[in-house]
Amino acid sequence: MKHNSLWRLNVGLLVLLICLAVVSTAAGVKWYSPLTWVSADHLTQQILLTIRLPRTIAAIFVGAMLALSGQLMQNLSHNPIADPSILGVNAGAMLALMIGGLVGLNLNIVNSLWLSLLGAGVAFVIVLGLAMRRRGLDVLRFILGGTVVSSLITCIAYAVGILTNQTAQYRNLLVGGFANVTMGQVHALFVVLMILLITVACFHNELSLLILDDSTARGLGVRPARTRLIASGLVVLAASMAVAVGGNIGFVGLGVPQIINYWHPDRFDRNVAPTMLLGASFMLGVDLLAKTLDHPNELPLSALSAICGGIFLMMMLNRKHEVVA
Amino acid sequence: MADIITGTHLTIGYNQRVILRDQELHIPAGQITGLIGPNGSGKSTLLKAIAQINSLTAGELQLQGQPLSDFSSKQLATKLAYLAQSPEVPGDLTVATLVKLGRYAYHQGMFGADPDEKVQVQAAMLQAKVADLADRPLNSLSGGQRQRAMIAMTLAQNAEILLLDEPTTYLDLTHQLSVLNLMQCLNRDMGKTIVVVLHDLNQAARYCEHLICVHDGKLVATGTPKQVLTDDLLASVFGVKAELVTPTGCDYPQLLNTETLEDA
Repeated sequence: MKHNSLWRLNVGLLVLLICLAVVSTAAGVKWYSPLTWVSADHLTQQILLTIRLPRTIAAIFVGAMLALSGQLMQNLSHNPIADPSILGVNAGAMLALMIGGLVGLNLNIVNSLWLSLLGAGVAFVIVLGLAMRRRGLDVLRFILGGTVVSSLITCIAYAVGILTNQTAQYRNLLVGGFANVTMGQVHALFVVLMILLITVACFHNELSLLILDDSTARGLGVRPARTRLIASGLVVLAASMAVAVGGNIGFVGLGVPQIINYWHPDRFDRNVAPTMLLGASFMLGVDLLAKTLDHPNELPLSALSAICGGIFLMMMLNRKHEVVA
Repeated sequence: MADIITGTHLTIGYNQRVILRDQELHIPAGQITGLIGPNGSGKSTLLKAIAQINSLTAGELQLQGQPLSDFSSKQLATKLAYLAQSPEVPGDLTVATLVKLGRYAYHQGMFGADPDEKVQVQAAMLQAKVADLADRPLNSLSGGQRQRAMIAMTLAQNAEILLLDEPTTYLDLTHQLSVLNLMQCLNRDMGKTIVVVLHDLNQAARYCEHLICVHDGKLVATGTPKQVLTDDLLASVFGVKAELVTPTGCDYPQLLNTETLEDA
């Protein structure tokens, strides 16, 4: 593709994101037309500012983070089906949050973040440890081992929920959702997003070279072990923050980078922006469906995400006929 | 000819298996040096050790008198460019994108800018004769074109020394020759020092001015193709016998009617 196509893609995705953000803020239990926002009464403005807006922003940030962590993971493992949600990282964060809640920790923003970081980190180290071989990362072991570890942790999380009769309390974690997002969480998300973006900007050349095998990368002057460590740290940080706020949401990390790479195959760093933009739009769109489809009930976000994403991905696979490793 | 790379008391091995024990290595500057030897003799391992991808168990490698271990990995990449035997590269990258990856060592500053990128990438693609393929994705290229694109990536490193690990493997004869001719051009026109692992002894004799034969933990023979390729060496290292013929107007031997000694 030509150079300007990346610009067009980015601008197009940005416009889509802005439109969705406006609609998503306007929609909910009651529809507030964007035209009336400025002239609305005090109560309406309070609802918009403290309930609607944080939810919209949180969905944007979480979607962007999940997409980025999936893209990093696919780059790290040289495999298009790698994603923190199927490799145990999200599940680890979720289990740690549940256990933290059960032992009586106050799940405020700070506690949630370090708990999910810890859980995600431990899960990722286990999966990576199972897959590392002398010559580097064994991709098949990584994917299979990750899937097994992920299912195991998810089962334990459900078991913990059922045995302690606390499933309802952890519904948000297990099925995902942005219904109770606060402005404080949005601030925390913003800080983490900035850390992620700055780190990616500083190491974009190295991270892009992770797609090569270790020997070739070293020949070009990269230290693969160090780069892998940076990428892993970013994956864990992004995924655990996303889980701490939005719960366990699948597909975004798996499907969004794939779709961008299908439209615009390019090196990692050039595809970061469109991947994050599409991830944010996707999350907003799914959240919009979750809060409006079965009005006034909330539908489970992770299930909706998996359904929309799964259908989309199957269509893509059918068109492409090949998954390039 | 002065040596550009020297190795003293080189011992290389992994998992208790010793590949090379206490050997001296000399790579002459501005020449094509071929590493030959049977499968598993350690040619590739030696090349990787020179590229500092595998570490030495003992001994020291020097680049123009300076220990290679003194260089940072980025500095090293501007001196030595290494091309692995079958590099793993995503097929949907374009040739130009791939070649740009070769500029990694020149990225500087907090966000890794490279002011010379455009010029150097274009030059590398012209040298490797892939400039007309710049916007083509790698999986649409023939094996030979892809290998030339990989060589362009290593040329973008602008290093004086190229280390090529079996660049002709998996290629059919025309593409093998196009890669070998490219290698010869780079040596003659740009004065690159090249160290190349080759399987085909006839190609090694024809394209390399200097041969090093690796066998049984030792560098058993070093010198011009004529000095290295002898009846004795063919029998003791490769287990074959052949008529060694020097073509008219050439100073290197070629093997004819090669047979394994077991059959004879």
